[in-house]
Amino acid sequence: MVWESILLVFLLGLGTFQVIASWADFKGISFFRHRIVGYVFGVVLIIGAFAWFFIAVKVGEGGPKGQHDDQALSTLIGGGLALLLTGFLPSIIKYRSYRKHHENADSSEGIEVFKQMTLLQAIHHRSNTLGKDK
Amino acid sequence: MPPDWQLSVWITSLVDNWSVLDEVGKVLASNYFAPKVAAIILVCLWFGTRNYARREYNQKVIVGVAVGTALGFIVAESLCLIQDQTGDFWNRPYLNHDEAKFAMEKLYFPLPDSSFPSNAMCGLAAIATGIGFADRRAAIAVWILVALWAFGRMYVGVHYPVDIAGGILIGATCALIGRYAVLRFDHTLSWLLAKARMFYMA
Repeated sequence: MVWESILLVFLLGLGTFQVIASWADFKGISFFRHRIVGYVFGVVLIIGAFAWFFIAVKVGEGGPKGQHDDQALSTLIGGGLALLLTGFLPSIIKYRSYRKHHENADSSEGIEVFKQMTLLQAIHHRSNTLGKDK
Repeated sequence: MPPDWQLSVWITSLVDNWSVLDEVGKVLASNYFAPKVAAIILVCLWFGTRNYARREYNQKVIVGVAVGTALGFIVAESLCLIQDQTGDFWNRPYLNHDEAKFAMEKLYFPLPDSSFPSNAMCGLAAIATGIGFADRRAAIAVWILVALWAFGRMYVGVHYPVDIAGGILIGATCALIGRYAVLRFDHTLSWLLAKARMFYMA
């Protein structure tokens, strides 16, 4: 039950972050070039994850232990993995397309940087900026 | 016996009449549907607000929601503990009525704690009330989830309507306290969000 729960949170998280990336135009964390593909992928993943979970997993069988004790664990592990994959996968697959772009990027803060660059580029950009300041 | 026990008996007597309704009731009652959808809505509000200034405001509201929800759970758990200590235990419907017992055995599982108040409703009502300060449409969506989860919990025979109402009342009150706390510590919160932005989390 715990593994299914972790997988459910992971898939829901992944889908949600792709919908957010398309909605807020965060190109740096989107897996796709076209926003519409991100929307479709995210929504299909969310609906598919729920459908798989409630059809394949017997939700009542775990009893209170199966439903209560794994909530925090699955949210932490599944959500954390989804967050990491959303941050790092576009950094790898979009490395070339954003390589020149991020060098001219302005100094946006927080998740706003994902409108112009990927996570690894943002980290690199910040370390460069800090180096110049010193 | 709570005053609304007839309503609980009527709802649980619907079990085993329509298999589709049974399956829907099982999904709605579980901890895997309503809380997960509510979490998706919260994540969307936290990361997905397009306007920068509005996003920071929404994030402060969500911190208030977290404070309110935590407070709600503490109050609800404390009430359950008090009932445990005093021995004045509020039995769940499946312990009092045959219809509810049948519903629980068919669709759910026994729960060890007191029926009043509903912890589940307490948490979700705190979220619904709290995010009303950020986005009215999101709040309406979560209130719909509250209604669906409440129906599911009553349908499978683990809550009376008065447990649901009590949970909602506690959750909503705690959400308002959480909102007040966030307004009171606005500067600290702005500082914390600035730190979170350094790690690309806000």
